[in-house]
Amino acid sequence: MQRRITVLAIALAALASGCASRRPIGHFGDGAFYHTRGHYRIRYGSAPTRLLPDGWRLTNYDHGDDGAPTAEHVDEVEIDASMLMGRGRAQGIRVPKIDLLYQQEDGDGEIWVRTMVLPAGWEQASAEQVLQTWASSVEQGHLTVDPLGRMPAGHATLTHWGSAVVDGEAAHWVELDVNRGGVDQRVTVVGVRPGHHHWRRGRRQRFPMLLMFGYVSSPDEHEAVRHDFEQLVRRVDIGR
Amino acid sequence: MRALTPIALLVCAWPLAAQAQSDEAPPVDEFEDAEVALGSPRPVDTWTLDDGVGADEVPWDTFDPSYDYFPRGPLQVGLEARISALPTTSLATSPRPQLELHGFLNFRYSARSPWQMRVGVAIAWEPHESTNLGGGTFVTTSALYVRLRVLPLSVDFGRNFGLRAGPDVGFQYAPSPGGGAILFAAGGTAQIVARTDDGRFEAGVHAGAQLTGIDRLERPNPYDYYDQAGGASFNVDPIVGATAGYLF
Repeated sequence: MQRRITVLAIALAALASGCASRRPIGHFGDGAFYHTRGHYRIRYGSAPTRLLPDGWRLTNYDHGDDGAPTAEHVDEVEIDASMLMGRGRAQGIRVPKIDLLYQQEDGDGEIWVRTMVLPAGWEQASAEQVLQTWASSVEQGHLTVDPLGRMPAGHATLTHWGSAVVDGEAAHWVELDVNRGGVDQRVTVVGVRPGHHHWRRGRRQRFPMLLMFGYVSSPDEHEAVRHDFEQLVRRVDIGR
Repeated sequence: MRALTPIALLVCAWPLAAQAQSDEAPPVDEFEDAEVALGSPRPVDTWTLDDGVGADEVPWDTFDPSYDYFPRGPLQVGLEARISALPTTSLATSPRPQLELHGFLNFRYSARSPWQMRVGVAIAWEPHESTNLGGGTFVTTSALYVRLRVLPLSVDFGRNFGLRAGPDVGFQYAPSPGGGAILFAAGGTAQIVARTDDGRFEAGVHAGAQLTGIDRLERPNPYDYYDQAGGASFNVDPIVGATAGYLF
């Protein structure tokens, strides 16, 4: 009898592991990086299998022998869905902190892509409203500009902002100067709200979201990094 | 002459106006100090981050979905063959083989979901048995089965294994001496398969049970074909065997 129970337990565990596999962030397929949920893709640039030119290293993926990204490293954050919905029981939803993270090989620059899940009440908010609120929170020290939270929030100042267009969609950008531990950094973030896309959890829960594209560097190198960043975001296609 | 006057004035005044403009100090922004104090400089021009290339030039559907389950697509047509054994013995039946051909539609709920459903028609044959129980009573087991098979519990484990299970229902034919009988048929099946060729070919083992129909013919007078009666009963027979299928 005990043996049967053991076999049954193994079978159930195998069934559960097969069905509860974690959803990947995205994958590098033919011609582009595709977000798993179909929210967006980024077409490859001048190199046939690269989003950014040489000198940039994709750090949240392993790479095969040919340099192509293979297994991904997902760093997730758990958000209380009841907080996002403004009601209901506390239920955690796991969201990747970052979709793509590139680091400069010969510098301190970073380019990242992130999908931020928003509270349900922000359904009608524009990218400008969301991003300005985010920037204000960063200025006040409630949030850190680093999506991975590797460094604590420092002293940040919102210096510039403006409107933008990403794949034909109205977008917004902000620029902040940050001082963390005596190190000056400049951060530029572009946000776009693909209103027809939602972050879904199961069949019933869906949350608005903000696609964020950011680049970080020292103030002196910011203009140089900006070129590569622009080329990346220009190749973004938002799912229709 | 009167008409040329405004033109002459414009031509003469243009260099003077341009000179005056170049000598002008830059316009004073009376709000600049306030903005600096508030830390809120003005927005600048729209930053266009769009290369104008869209889904038309690089179609979205042509990519290689590395994490999709195979075969790709929401619907496949499949064909499956089974060779089975019905190993038990009863009053009317003895261990026997069964051959089955199963044509089905495979519905996948989503490209990245391991869950799917199969609906198909299975046609099976097994050697029937006729037994004379004495007293003019013959019993004949079924030889042909046509069953609608629904496998709602159909799930892939990774790319190489799958589990399918569900009921089937239909009719069966028992070729009894009285002209044959068509009876109700039902059963259930479960199979574990290994998959290859991008999930198109699958082979494995299956187990289940079926209601085997037993047609009973009572003919007390062997020379009088019109003096006969009959009925049917069912036997629950377990089935085990091997299966192989291909999805097109």
